[in-house]
Amino acid sequence: MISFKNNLFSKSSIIFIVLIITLFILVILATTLGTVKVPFHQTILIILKNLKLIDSENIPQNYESIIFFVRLPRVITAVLVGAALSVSGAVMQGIFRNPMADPSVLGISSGASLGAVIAIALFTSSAGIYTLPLFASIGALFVSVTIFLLSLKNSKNSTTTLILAGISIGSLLHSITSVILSFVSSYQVKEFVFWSLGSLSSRRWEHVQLTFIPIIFSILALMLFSKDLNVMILGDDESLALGLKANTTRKIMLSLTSVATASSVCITGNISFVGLIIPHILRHLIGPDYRKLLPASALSGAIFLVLCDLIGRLVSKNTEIGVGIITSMIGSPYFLYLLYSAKKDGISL
Amino acid sequence: MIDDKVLKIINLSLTLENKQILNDISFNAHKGDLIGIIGPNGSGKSTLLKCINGLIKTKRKIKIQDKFIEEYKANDLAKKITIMNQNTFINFPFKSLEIVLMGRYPYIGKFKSESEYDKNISLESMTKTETIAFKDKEINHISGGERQRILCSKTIAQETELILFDEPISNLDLKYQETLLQLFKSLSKDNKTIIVAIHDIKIASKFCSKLILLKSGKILSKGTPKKVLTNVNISKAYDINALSFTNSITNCLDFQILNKKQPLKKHKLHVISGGNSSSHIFKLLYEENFEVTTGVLNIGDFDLESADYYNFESIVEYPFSNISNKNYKKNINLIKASDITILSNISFGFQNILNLKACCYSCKLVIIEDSPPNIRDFTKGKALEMYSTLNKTATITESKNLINILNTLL
Repeated sequence: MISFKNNLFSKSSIIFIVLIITLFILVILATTLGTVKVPFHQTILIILKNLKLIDSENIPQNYESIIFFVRLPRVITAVLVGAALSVSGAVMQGIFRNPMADPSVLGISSGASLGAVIAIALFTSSAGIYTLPLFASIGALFVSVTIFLLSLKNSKNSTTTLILAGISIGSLLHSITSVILSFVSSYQVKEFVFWSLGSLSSRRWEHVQLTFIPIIFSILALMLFSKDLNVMILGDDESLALGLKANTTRKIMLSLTSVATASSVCITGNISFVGLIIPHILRHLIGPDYRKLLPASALSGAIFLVLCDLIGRLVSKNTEIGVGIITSMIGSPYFLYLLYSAKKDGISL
Repeated sequence: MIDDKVLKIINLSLTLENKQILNDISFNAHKGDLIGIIGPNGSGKSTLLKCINGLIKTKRKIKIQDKFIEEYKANDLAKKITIMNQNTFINFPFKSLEIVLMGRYPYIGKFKSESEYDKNISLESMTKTETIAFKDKEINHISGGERQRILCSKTIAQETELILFDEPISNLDLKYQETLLQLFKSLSKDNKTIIVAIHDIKIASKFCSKLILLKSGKILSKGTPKKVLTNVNISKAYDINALSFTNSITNCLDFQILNKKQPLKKHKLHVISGGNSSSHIFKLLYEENFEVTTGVLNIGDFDLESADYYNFESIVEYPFSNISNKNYKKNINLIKASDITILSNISFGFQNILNLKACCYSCKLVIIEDSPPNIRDFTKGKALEMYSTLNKTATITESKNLINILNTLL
């Protein structure tokens, strides 16, 4: 139960196996399904071919371009962003000792949005591909630091104060973003929708390329702190008594989550609630131990976002619903449910 | 002599936000000490403990085994000393055992998980606090007292030589208050050094080998419980009127808070007491702040012990002896010197019949009659005869009305 390497068939290892298989199947499925029907076996052949595992000539060219250049990068983006947001949420909940924390609830995603929009406004689109993530990260980090400083003043660690602070900072940044967007490109209303609601439509390999390294790096780095996060749940004084300087560790982790969040936001816009829902459900399934929670969050977050995107694509034949809208439609009621059941779970509001 | 000093605090003062919290604190702790830190709310108990553990930074004031705490690496310090803080809330559904296992954090390498030994130590410390039954329960779904005992197990599982507890029993019922303090005592016998901030001075005096009494960040008194817990010290520290005494049934220190009225009343009272008849009257008179004398009492009489605690002047006779002529005269002198003499609800025998006789010299006599005098007479009517003579001029009352009667008479 404590070290799950000893018992391979324990509950948590079964859950991990199920998660990995589900993610794999879902990725293939999401690549296959869509308005243009591609046979299932063709999808697998195309993927295998592009991984240079097989050499197949008899694949229709139009299938290959749809699967490999349109759908697959989109699904991979969903996997990366889902994992990043979910892990960031789980880590923030630990840092703030607060199960309601999440990059979108605390306004960190809005900070990243603002950073990205400023980058768009200041630079030409060719420079944008590198300045965008940088500015988004700065925006995210700025909000993280603000929230962190506020939480220091808020010595009772009250959930309500933290969430309200996050919401007000979020809406302030949101309005600044709107103002900038209306000046920069009044003809592009769609752009604004993208930044405020988040979407995966027309994400290409260059987007994956852009964020693959920062997201994978920050997720792996955060996993190194799993044991420290467990201890930090007890509070700063308790952590120090156990030999962990919580404040230093917290700053490092906050920077890493900002990088992960910002990388996600700058390619998909603001996708809410993933980091809130996934860790919360997982805590009940495999327990709150971060050594299991973080890898499980990464897998489940990926599954969740691929699934939400798939729903958004399939629900209507004529148009598609942005993935951010789907997560909000699931996330908002769940958040309300959490707030109402918080007292029962012994959470100090 | 081997120097077994584990902790040394040298002139520790602390000012936070322009407020002096600690003022010139110095003391040592040795192996096997169980030190209680007592004092009123806001006297600096928690702050002192936090300083000792380095949670609040100090400079060259606190030494653990001849090395200042700030010279230790965080991880090494966590193997020497730990603290159980008060009010630790956990918002996540960790199982109790997982929380206790966190006490092993300093010993587990960055990329390792808990060993069998870590697990055994944790289970063992849960057995000690009697929490093993809910090791798989979630920490946010158990009661406050249970959580406190879990956190205590976690602290013990850390296996440090010095353990600080900040009000570890504040949420516990009587049984577990006792259990935990017994546990601390047995830990101290295993050569651990325990320092515990505690509100309950009765429990503190029962278990601690040394006490430190704080008042506004200063050490008011330190030493053995008997030395520290005097009426004067307790009254000064808590700004109350305390009565500390050795409970003759348990032979433990015991405490009572009395509401002594101010100022001192000018009137002098003399109480004819004896045979456990007058402790409650002494208490009433003490709280009214009268100047009281009493007599004649035999050594061994509980009334005498009680009069001593209230610091009343008393005339003392040898055990089981008749009142001597000398003491009879002393008694008369005190009766004459007093404004009112009170004859308690005492029994009469040949041993103390002179007390009754002395009552004739009183200027004003109040007789307390809680039970009829005939059942209290063991002199075959002789005392009863004297009693009925006194009866004619005296005011007779039950003890519960005594203060009212005195107020009308004075």
